[in-house]
This record gives sequence, C-alpha cells and structure tokens, in this order.
Amino acid sequence: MPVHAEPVNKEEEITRLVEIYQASVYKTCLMYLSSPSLAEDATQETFLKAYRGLSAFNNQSHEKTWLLRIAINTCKDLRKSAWYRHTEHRFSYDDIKEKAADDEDTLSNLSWEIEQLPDKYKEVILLYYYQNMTCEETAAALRLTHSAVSRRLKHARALLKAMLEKEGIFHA
Amino acid sequence: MRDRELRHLIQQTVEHRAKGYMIDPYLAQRVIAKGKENPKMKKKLSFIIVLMLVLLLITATAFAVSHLEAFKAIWENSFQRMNTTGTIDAVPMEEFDLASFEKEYSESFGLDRKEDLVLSTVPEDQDLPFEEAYVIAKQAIMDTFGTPEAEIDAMGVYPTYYKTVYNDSVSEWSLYFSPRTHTNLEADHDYAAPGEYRVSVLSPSGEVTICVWYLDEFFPKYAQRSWDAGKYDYVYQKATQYAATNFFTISKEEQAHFLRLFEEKGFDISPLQKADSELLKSMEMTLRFAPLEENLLHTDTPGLSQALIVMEQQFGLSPALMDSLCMVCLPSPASSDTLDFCFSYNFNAAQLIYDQHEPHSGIQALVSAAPRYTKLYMVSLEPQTLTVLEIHSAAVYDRKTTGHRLLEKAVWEKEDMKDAAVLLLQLTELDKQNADGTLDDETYLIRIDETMCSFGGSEEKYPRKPLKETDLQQKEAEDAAFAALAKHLSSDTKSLKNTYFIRSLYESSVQEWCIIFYQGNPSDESTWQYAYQVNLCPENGEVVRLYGPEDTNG
Repeated sequence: MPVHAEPVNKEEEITRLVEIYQASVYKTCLMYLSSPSLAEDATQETFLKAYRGLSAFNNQSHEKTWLLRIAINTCKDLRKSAWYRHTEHRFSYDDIKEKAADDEDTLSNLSWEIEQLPDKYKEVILLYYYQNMTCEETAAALRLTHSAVSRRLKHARALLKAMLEKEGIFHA
Repeated sequence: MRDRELRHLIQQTVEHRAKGYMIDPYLAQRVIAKGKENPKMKKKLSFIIVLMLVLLLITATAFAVSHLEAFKAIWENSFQRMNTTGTIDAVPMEEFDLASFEKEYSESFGLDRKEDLVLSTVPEDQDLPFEEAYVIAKQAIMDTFGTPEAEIDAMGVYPTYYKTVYNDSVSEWSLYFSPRTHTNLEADHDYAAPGEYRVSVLSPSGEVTICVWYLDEFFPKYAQRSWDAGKYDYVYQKATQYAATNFFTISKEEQAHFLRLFEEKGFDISPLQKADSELLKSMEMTLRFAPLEENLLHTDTPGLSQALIVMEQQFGLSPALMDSLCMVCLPSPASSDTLDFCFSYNFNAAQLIYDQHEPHSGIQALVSAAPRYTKLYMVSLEPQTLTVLEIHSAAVYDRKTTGHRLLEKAVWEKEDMKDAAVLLLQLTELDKQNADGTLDDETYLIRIDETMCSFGGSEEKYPRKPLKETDLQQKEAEDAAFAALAKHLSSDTKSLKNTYFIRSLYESSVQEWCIIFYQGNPSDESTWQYAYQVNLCPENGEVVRLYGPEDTNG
C-alpha cells in the first residue's frame, strides 16, 4: 500500500511504516554496517527521514523501495561519518567461528562473506535476494539502471561464490 | 548453486545474523518526537570554492606532516578504548592520495557529497592545540554537569582531530572522556555510571559545539551532585528523560526528595507523578525485556496464586494461555508499599519460541502478533493480608481498532482471550500436522495464513493463498510459460522444449506460478544450468516477470 501524498495523519502513517518495516530495515542496516547498535541508530534515522519526507513522497513508488533507499543512504552516511571511520565495527571472523555451532557455521560464514563484499555488490545482494525485490525495484531503490543492477548482481554472485568455494562452504 | 537456493540461503543468513533482534515498540514514538524537532540544515559549497580549498589543503600538507609525531604522542598517552588497533588513525598528509580518495568518495556518495568528506588528521599551526582543547572541554563538562575536576582528571581522554577536507572553517577536536577501568561504549550502548563525556571543540575558535554526558539512567548520587553544583535544569531534564525507565525504580524516599527539590525550584513535577496505570505503561520496556530467570509465573507463593486468580477472572488469562502468549510475571520494577505483580508479553520468552520452532511456524505467527495486542497488567496486593487492592491494565499502543475479530482489534480484551486460545490450538495442530508429514510445507504455510486471516489477520500480513479451481493449473501454466518464452525469444515452443526442461512451483505468498527453464540432464541435478524464469499470474496467465540468463545465471 503506497504512502499517501499528503497523509491525513503523519503520526499514524509513520507508526504503520515502523510496524511493518522496522525489522526489514534493521536487518538490511545490520548487514550493511555490521554493528547491531549502529544498525539500530540507522533504523531510527531512516524512519525519521521517512517521517520528515512523508508529504513529499511520490506515491507511485513502492513504500518499501523508498524506505530501503533511505536506509541504504543512511547507512552510507553513517559509514562515512568521522566516528564510524574511526572505530572498528566489523566482528571478527574467528569470533564468529568460535561462537557458531556446527550447523550454524555456514550461515555465519556466509554472513561474514556478505559483509565483506564491496558496498555496491552488498546492496544488490541484500535488496534482490534478501528483500525479494525484483531487478526493477532494486534499480529504483539504488537509483541505478536495470542493466547496472543485473551486472552488479552477476558480479556479486560470482564474488560470493568464489568466497564460499574458497572457504570450502560450497562447491561449484 | 542455483538462484533460488542462493536466495534462500541469503535470507537464512540475514535472519541468523539478526538473531536476537527485538522489535523496538517505542521506535515510532521516538521518530515522531524527533521528527517534530527542526532538522539541521547542511552547508553546500560551490565547486569553485571546493577547488580553491583543495589547493589550500594541498599547500597545507607540508605543514601538517611535521605535526604528526606530536599528535601521535598525545594519542599514545591517552586512553585507548573499543577495538581500535592501537595505532594512530590520523592520515599522514604526505601519504594522502587526494585523487584516489576523491574517486572512492565520489563513487560511494556522489560528487555532491564531497563537502562532507572528513579526515582524521593532525592539527596545523593555526589550529587549536590539543592542550587548549582539553582545558576547554574539561571546563565545559564542569560547567554543564557540575562534575568535580578530580573525577574528570581520573578519566582517560580519547582525542581526535577532524578536518573537513573542503571546509577549513569546521575543523574540530573531538574528545571522549572515559573511565580508565572499563569502557562503557559497548554494543548495546550501555553507559553505566559514571558514564562517558563527549565534547567537540571547534578549531581554531575554541567554541564548544557538543557537550554530552552519556549516562543511561537517573542516578540519585550524580543527580544530587549536579544539583548541588546548581545544574537544576540538567537534573530535572534527566529525571523526566528517565521517567519511563528508572526514576520510579529509585527508592520512594529518593523520589520524594527530588520531587521536593524540583518543586522548590518551580519545575513541573507532573511528568514525575504518574497514576498507577500510566506508571505501568512506562515500565513496558523493563517488563518486555526482563530476563526469564526473573519470571515468577511458575513459582508457588500465596501472593502470586491470588494474583493469578485475578488475572483469569478479570482478563481471561490463565497461566497456560499466558505461557503460550509469551507472557511473564514480574514484581513491579517501581518502588511501592504494596505487593505488586506485573504481567507482560516478554521478548526473551518469545525468543525461546522462535528458537524452538521452524521459521514461519504457526506458533511463531501468533507469538509475533501478540505484542501488538496484549496489554500490560498489574495486580497490587496488601502485603500482609494479600487482599487485592488495585488491578491495572494498560494498552501499550494508541491504536484504533479496525475490525471486530481478534487480529483486527487494537487490544485484546477478556472476551478475545477465548478466540486467542482457539487460534492457538488451531495453529498448534497445523504445526503438528506439518511435523508428522500430514501437511506438506507449502500447504502448511498457506493454512497458517488462512487461519490468521480467519481470525481477522490482514491479507497484507498473511498473503498466502491456495490456487483456485478457476486458476491456471500446473500443466496450463507450463504451456503458457513456454509460449511466453517462445514469444520473447522469437522462437517456437517445440524447439524450446527440445532445448530446455522445466521445474514449476506455485508461489502462494505472491500468487504466481514460477516456471524455471533449465538446460542439462534432467535426471542429474548437478548438470542443471539455470536459463530462464517465467512468473505467471494464475488467474489470467499473464507474464508477471521474465528473467533471462543475465538476471538469473547462478
């Protein structure tokens, strides 16, 4: 359901968006920022920007696409902030391996690999595969062309597969 | 690995990574509150000015290099915290490759964001020296919070000098004052006493732009100290800020003491004088996130037995139903003269359910819906006689009921609990049938969504629907997919059937037929090569999506 161009009640509208998309936005931010606390900050910031931009939102776009575009831009802003650049946010691969039970190793390793991907590939992977967006929606969220998304997806898959094969998680 | 497998795996991975994430029920409220504040305006620079600043920056490089050693010494003598590598993070300007830095920056954020480019670097001759910035920051903390100088001196300081590459006028010192014994800046932002200070000092002006004390609670000891130093506004602001979390957990005497102080100075004490039901609502986070070890629901005390009788009679909540809805019982977190039992949905209890069941199970569907509908409850007893003194219930969200059935209602009242119990039984039965193989996975998921909808759940949230009799059935869908692909490739169905074999799946969550075209040996999955995918609307056979090899080549 699209956000109305001029919502009758912005508070109700943002409450609805938060209720529906909070987890989805948080998880995307988490994979982008690799830090639960920063992902929480980014989630709040995303909805704050959405709240402020509600009346200007083009209701022809899909609200999820719109929110995730804000979320990714917010993550980029956070990533470039002085404080973020200054601190170590990535979790250690060894830490994960120690913590993970055997049957969870694959997921932990894959999580690690996704987070290591260059941003432009990580974005398309998260939107296309995790958020179940189509190429068109992914392109709209990232302000890219359809062909650019297709190219990035192809490269991202290749990178991911190479990483996973190297780790012995999957074999071609 | 095929595309669908990869998609499934990535989804599992993200869920796994976010395991333990709890929905923040206050997020919308915070967003609305912050949204009503005025947003900060950003400065924009013209490209000409940017170029001039670049030239200035490059000429300044030589000066900066000579200061790196001095800055390094400051750093090494300072308190180092978090996971920093132990090496100075300032970029030696002589090694700073502006061209590639800009390129990376432009690719990531776009050219129009260059004015935000920030470097951690070393101060220059004309900048405020660290020693002066430190004195200014310390004074700001003492002035703002009444912190004794000795306490600040006992803390480590973590200095960073930030240069906004294209805007010399906004360079600044950022100083974090942290306890030397441990770091407070943990992943969950738990700033325990005595907290941590952050001060930003502009260079070269020395203007303090930020002075913050990160302290997550209202600590009477610190509040009293700040009060004695005359920081009345700050103490009052802290008390009201934490009215929802811990002001009411300090002792009754301390509450009365601070209320008296606030009143004497003319502050509005009404936010700190809550009615019991309002107070109950303000304790939501404490109750929702309480550790399960604190759950009293299965303990056996006369007081609790009395409270449980009240819960069943007044609200239709038996201990078994509360268990199923992931509710816990806790003593009231607020200071009180009565014997209080609070009942609330608890996210840690829900997490146990999530851990015990497959994703998308029926039980999970109900448990994930429950926090939106269940209230907070409190039963107050006379401590000696166990007479029921007061019964409170508070809905957490200010929501409007949109319908008459369970899941359309804003909050569940006593009469809804019977429905909740029936829904629980039906979902449990579905889970059982799926576990013993009576229901295949796809039908099971459809039945869960149907069940939730039959109890008032919205189709938006529970979208899975079975194929209708009038819909395209599998064979028809496959024929339509071949025809669509033939048209797309300007080929004919017969030659396509000679080239590709297909696998079909009805995706009930989006009501689409998904037909995937492979090449290879149909009997040997390892040889399958993903080629095309055609998604069709089962109602009219129209192509919803058609992926080519460039989209789907896994």
